[in-house]
Amino acid sequence: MLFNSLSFAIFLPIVFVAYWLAGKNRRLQNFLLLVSSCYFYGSWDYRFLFLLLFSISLDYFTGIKMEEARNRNMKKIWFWLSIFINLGFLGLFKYYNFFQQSFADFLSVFGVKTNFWTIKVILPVGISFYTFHGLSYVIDIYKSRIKAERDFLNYSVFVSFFPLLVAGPIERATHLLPQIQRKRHFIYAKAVDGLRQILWGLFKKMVIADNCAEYANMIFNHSAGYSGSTLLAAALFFTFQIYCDFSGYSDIAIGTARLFGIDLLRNFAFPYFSRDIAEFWRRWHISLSSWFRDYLYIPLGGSKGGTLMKVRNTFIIFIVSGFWHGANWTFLAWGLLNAIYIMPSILFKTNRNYLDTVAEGRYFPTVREFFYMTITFTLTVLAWIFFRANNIHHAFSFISGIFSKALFQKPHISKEAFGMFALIGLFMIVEWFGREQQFAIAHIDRVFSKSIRWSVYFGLIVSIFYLSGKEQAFIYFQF
Amino acid sequence: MKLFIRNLLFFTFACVFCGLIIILTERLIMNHQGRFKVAKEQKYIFLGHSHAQMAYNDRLIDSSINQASSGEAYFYTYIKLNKMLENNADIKAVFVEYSNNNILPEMNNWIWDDIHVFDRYKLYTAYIHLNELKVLAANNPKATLLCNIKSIVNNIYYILYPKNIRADSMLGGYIYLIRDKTDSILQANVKNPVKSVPDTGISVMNVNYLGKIIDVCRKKGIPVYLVRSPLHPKYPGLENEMIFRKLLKEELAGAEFMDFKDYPLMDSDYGDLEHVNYRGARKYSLFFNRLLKEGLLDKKDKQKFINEQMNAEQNGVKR
Repeated sequence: MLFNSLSFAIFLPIVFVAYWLAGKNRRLQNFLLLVSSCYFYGSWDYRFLFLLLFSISLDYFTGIKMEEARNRNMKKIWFWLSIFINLGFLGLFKYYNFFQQSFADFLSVFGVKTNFWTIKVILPVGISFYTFHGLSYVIDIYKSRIKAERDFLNYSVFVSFFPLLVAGPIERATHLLPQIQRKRHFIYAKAVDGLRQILWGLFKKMVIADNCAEYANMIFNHSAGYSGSTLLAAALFFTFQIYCDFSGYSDIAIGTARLFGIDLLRNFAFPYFSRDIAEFWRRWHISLSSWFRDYLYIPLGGSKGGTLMKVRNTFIIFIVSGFWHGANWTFLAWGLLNAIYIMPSILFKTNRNYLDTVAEGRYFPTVREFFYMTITFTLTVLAWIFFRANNIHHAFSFISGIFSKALFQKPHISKEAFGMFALIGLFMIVEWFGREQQFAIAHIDRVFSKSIRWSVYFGLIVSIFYLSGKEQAFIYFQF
Repeated sequence: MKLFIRNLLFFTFACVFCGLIIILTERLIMNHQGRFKVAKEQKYIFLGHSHAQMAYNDRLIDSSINQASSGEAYFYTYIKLNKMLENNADIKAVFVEYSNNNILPEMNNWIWDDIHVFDRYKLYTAYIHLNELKVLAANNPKATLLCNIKSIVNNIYYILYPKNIRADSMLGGYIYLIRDKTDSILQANVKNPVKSVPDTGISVMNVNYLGKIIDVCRKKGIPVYLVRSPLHPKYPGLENEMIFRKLLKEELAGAEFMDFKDYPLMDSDYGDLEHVNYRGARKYSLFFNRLLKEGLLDKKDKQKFINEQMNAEQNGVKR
């Protein structure tokens, strides 16, 4: 069930009404959330519900066992058991065939022909996300940051809460579990804000991302015959596709959760207005970046052990982050490239220069800010080419194609594609003026009267129907 | 909670109300624009899909207008014909292309798959009746809903810049096909022979709408003729000829059938095995025009007359 589907449009109001009708009974509310989450997840493939149930049970059980462990060694055993099984499943479903194929390719270089046992694995939707939920919970208990949850219902809802189940944001037990444990109250402003965020997310996904996807796919899939300017246009289309696709998804997820009185972690903070790569990574897929920071970078020593250690740890988290996205060398290359990008700010200790919002309190950026934003955006576009390309060779030939003489020719794209750029421009203007908010149109209730606000919503709804592109699955579902 | 639901319902109602007002106004204007009016002297209409669109050069056939359109199922032809008959009292005869591929099961896709709904239904949203809307809504509700909304801007554009049917290539009209790929197709077929499997299925919906086309013409007292325009002798789509004939006899008995499939043309007169190009269209249209002038429509055994005339032409053509 996709967020942008008719079935979700029917499913959500039913769950919403049932949930608040059970308003006085928190356990009944949680039970409803669990059942609806199972239905939501099972609508993809009911068989993977068993895997989800196993993952939930494992972490629930090991969490309690760790807390009850008589000594440190027992605690350690339960901890590593959970980590091993969680990562084992992730590895099996997501990476087995990749490693097997890569190993076979490696041996073939030396003339050794192998015939490994291959398995036809269907990647369970959202496995990377709910595995990371579980891992953070287990690690937090091991580090004694939280207490183990004794109520199986509460823990199940924490992992399987349907808005975040398949593509995040990746939640922490410290943030989400307390909200599930306590009684929720319906707050009008919060629900309205949630609806507004859902609407904006749908606009981003269905109007910007889906349309950009059509043009980007068309050119990326036949890139050999296109001029440099056309390839650059495709790279730009993909840049906005992936942003609007994933941040649109996150907006819908966060907005949906708010309808149920639950706040999720912020996942995007206008990353394309970043002034350097370090700022970009504080604003892009925040829940994953902070997960890697807290559960990988800091345990590895973080920035405490001198420059060499910092460089090593930075490379590790970016490569692991790339690999998290999928079993393909292109994702590794994308991670590696980002690690290289961020190196200057790590080495010159400027990585925390931009903790504020660009041009805060002003309408326009300074020339210097604009220049830095342009440089950062250009580097990001280049990196996305690796992310989107079919393989490394494709990525390099795509980039070399861009930097050909034909870069300054008029791109061979349709009139509609040029129109799409105009729409993207308009969209970025709205994002710019809303950059100090949680999402671009969060502030319109403070700025506009009710009639104007409703006209804006009506306009957005009409444009979603009128301008929506061919329905595309959310990119991050495959991760 | 109550306030939230009340405001949400009120907003939804307001949106639906505004949307309906816009749609109804736009449709009312569209229906009174006379978009389907043709010149008084145009008394013969040709309808159908690409076969007819490329075969009848209406400049060479007196008093005629070709309104056939590539990829058009009878479902949409029916909507168009209704509007044309409503707007033009002087139409004397309607010729509808009835070819072997018109009855294939894939014609259902031509009616309601996403591509055809967005490309075809978009043109007719303002003119559709409830029965046809039900067909689309039952088979592809999402695309139907979206297309209705998407067509609003399209229709407003037509209201602001009205276009007559003769000037609107989107709705149909003769296509001057330059293509000449027959030789290369035939050579490719010799190298890799196409193993065609006789297709026994039919699109019940498309055939039903052909029946409706015949009915609406009969109700208005306008003769309707099913016509099969020329097809290359090696056209592989003739495998369903038995069903094709059976349907003609049993389901479409209300209309006369005129078969020009074997009209003698050279390979170079075809764009491919099922479409004549501009050369073939010229020859065939001049021939058709001559037959009309010689009283084809008044003949009792039209097919006999056609066959005689085609045999006479045959002598002059070497393939």
